[in-house]
Amino acid sequence: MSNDPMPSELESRPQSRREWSGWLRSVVLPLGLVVAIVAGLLYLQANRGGLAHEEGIGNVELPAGLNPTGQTPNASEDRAAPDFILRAPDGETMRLSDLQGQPVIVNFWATWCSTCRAETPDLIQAYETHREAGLIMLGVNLRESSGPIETFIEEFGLSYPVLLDRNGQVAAAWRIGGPNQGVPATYFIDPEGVIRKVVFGYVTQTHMTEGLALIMAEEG
Amino acid sequence: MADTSLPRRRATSSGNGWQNFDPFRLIWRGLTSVRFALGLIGLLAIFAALGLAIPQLPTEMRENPMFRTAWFEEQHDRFGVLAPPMERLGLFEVFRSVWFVSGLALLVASVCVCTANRLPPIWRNVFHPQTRVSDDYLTRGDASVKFEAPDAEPIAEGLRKRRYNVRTTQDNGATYIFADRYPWAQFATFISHLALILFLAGGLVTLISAREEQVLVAEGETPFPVFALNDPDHMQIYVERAVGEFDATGFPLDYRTFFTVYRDGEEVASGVSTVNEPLNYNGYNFHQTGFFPDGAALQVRDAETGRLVYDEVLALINTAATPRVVVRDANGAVILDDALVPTDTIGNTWGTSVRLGEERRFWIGARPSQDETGWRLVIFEFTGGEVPAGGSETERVSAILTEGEQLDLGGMTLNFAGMIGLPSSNVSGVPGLDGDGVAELSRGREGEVLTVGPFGGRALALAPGEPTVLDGYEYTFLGQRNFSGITVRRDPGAVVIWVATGVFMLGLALTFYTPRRRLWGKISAGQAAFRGLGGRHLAIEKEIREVAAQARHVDERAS
Repeated sequence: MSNDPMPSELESRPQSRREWSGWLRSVVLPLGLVVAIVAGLLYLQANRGGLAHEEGIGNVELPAGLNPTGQTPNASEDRAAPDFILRAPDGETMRLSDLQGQPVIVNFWATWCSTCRAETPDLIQAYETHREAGLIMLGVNLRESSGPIETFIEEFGLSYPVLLDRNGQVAAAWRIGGPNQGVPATYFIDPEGVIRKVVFGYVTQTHMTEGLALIMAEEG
Repeated sequence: MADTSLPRRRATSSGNGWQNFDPFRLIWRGLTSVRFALGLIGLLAIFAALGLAIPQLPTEMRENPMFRTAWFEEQHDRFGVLAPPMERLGLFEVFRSVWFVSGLALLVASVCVCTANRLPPIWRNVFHPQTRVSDDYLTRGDASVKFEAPDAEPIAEGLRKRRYNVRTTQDNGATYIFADRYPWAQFATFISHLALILFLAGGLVTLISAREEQVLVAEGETPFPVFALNDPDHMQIYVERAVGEFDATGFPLDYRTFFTVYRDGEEVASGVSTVNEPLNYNGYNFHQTGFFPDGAALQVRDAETGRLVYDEVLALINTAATPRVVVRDANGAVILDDALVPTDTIGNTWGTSVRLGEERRFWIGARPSQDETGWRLVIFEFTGGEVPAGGSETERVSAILTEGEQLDLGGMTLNFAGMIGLPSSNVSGVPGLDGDGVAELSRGREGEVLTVGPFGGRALALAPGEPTVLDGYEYTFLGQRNFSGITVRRDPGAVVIWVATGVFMLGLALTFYTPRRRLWGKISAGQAAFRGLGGRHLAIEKEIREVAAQARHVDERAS
């Protein structure tokens, strides 16, 4: 009975055991499986460990009646300043659009930023000089904890309000912190809520003079 | 009736001509080819060797266009005309190049397709094995084991005792035996292949998503940022204390850093990190990878208002050559042994004024000799409270000493002990500073002194905690600070690699410790013929004969 079946191992070498099961099962399925594994790993990594964010704090829509430009708000010159609500270290909230009618300087900063530390005395001086004329200055701290911020406020004698952008949401909307636009970043906003000047980096005396002239002049 | 049919073999070719051309089958053939896989591994090995031989762009420079450009300019100087094509080919970033990653992905695909493709036949072998073979196969050649066996049952029982799963069938007065031991061990191949896939997938995940940033943080200072502000994982590190332990020879014994990690305004982790035991948070490892003791905390306040106008820890990463001078009195007692950090210049010599004894003051500085054979110590003695003015230096100078030379100052001897290196750094932005300046930290018999300048052409020598007021500013050296070098690293691929290692070890263990063996036999008219697979023939024959001997023994006892 030499025609009886024999163990398949004797019939062929391992590499010739390939079996074509159709393109779906032979090619697409195994590759899809690997892509799914890698994508799953990457997804898990990308979505891990996020901190909870406070509802109602951060970017908010600018009421249409407060936007004189006819264009969507944008953190660039001659566009309406994107609106936000942020908390101060004492827990109080402040909304940017509530300040319309007064010239505002919004300065984004962080305690670890040496340029921010360097320009802070000049900002304080500018604020002290023009606050009687209605100038409002807001220091928006980026993603830091209360301890270093309070130390900073105390040591530098910050007299203008500090707001906390805990999760960087406002900074992202204002395009702060990109590869070429790190802190400090300073926006001069006129009483109508329109950004008139943007300074990335150190605010020199020239910047300050030019910016104040643009927003204070329109005050009256 | 046992299943005696062979696994159905599927056609591997379905015709000729373009009409039957199937690109998926072509891809499949390539991916299931061992030669293709070996060729790919060989190519990747060659490229990896190139990546090791050719300088690779450091990770920390990749994200910074300025550093990146500077680094490539350096390579252009090194490799000349070859540099541009090398850059275009990605030879300076081999392990991140598209072609290397693509090769790796192709290898993963090959292993996956191969493994998936082997699954059906091996599954059949494990769960639906061929339980009966031809008589010819059983009796043919030396591989067949024949012996006398009046009854099949003792043999089957003997095989069961040896952990075989035994199936018997009757046909035409003959008993057919199929015995299978550790059939699932065949899956060890899959486990090993799975390990290989995981190794490669881990490597791909690392290439795609691994992150690393190195930061140098001064202890006790404001939290230091990690990752860009617009990065979802932006964090800050506050170093409470950085400790470096050294033996008597200065050899480092241990570094450890006590620190806290903040994220979005909240403290998220706190603890200690050493070189071998990092702190972990959110998949990130915070490794202590450096220790730097030469930091100097400098604060400047507005003297009138007391407001802080400057607050930095200067990282004194450079070394400044500074003269060491030893002065002894007439009795040989040392009255000065210090590195004299320069605070101002006379001519082309940087130096400082020194009071020696009750009434005598000197200005001592150092400069390289004109013939560049070493350093010269230049000494002026104050007369009437001033350094002698007018005339040439040789007319005014008290002495010029070479290194090691000694000078009799009348009741005192001054020895130029040589030049030593002091921690220093260029500084800018310090209020009152004449543009850019230099800071230098010396540790003399009277403690640490931070020398910063120039301010109006002179330098300030600041003792720790002693404010000095100059031109409306109050300068305070708060003291020396340690810097801790911390590497923040997240490599999700590392976990996959560890899992792959475990899976690989499991595959090896199954392969080596659970050897699969299959035996086919026929017992008819008092004669048995067996043949087996799995291991050397001699071992199989030995086992079959041992089972047969035991069976005979059982038969004898029964009769």
